[in-house]
Amino acid sequence: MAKNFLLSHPAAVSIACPLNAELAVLDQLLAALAAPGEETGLDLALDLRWELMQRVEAESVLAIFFRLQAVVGDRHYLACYRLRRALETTLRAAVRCNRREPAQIVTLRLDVAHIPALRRRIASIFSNQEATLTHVTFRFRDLPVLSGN
Amino acid sequence: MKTTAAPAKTKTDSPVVAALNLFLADSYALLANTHQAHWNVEGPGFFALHNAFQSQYENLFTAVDEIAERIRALDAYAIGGLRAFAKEAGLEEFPVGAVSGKDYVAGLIFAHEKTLADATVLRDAAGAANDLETQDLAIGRIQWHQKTIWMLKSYLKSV
Repeated sequence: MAKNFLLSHPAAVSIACPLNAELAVLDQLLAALAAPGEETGLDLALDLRWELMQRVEAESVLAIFFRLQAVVGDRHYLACYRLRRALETTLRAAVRCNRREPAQIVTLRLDVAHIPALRRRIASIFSNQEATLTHVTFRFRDLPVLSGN
Repeated sequence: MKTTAAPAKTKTDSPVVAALNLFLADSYALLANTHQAHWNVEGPGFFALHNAFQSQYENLFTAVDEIAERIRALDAYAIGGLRAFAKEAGLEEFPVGAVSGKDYVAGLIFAHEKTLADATVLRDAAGAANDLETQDLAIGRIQWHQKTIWMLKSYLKSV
């Protein structure tokens, strides 16, 4: 009975999912970017929303996110933080250290400025392994995580 | 002397006690997150954030005792233990390692908002049970969380 009361309360939505899914978070940012002077950020946020809806090109999502963060991050830090945390839940990196081994899937920390910095951070995790090549690609989460950064 | 409280809902499955225990877990988990931010914050604004986080976790440390003892006054048992608090609260934790001051602030805003939402549920549950004393406790905590969220959000504003 107590749990039914709690779950039926209007505030229960935030209790269940305090960080929100990435689209819901992005929509909150979009509402804030509807103001005059935010046209560049609004365009980027709309592009990001499109890419997230397609769920095909994870690297495109990251590229647009970093550009969006660069443009609006100072004025909308909290919204960008929420979006960043939501994307960290949604996206993964697939790392292949040599061609004979399958890719390892790792979580992402997106508190960097751009994709090259993200690749360097991920590559540094594997730098002590015998590797002829550290190849990093990005994907939407659909596999168990083996390690994190 | 007759009190305004209804006969105590002494069962742990009462909505008031359930909401108190959830709020207790939130507050304890938030205390731990704030304490970690206090320890590890670096960079510009270090002194302001380090001291602000200390003030916040000290307030939370006092609050968790009040909340737990209110549960006991209702003749129910308070949950406890770090694992139980973390599981019940479900708050995101900070990673180990360098985290920017702004990220600490943003993460704590998240946690305060979730805690505030649960305090609101507690307030309403206590009101529905005519438990004005518990409702009073919840209202006091709501006010503090609202003020803290305002202060944290102010730090993030670029002017």
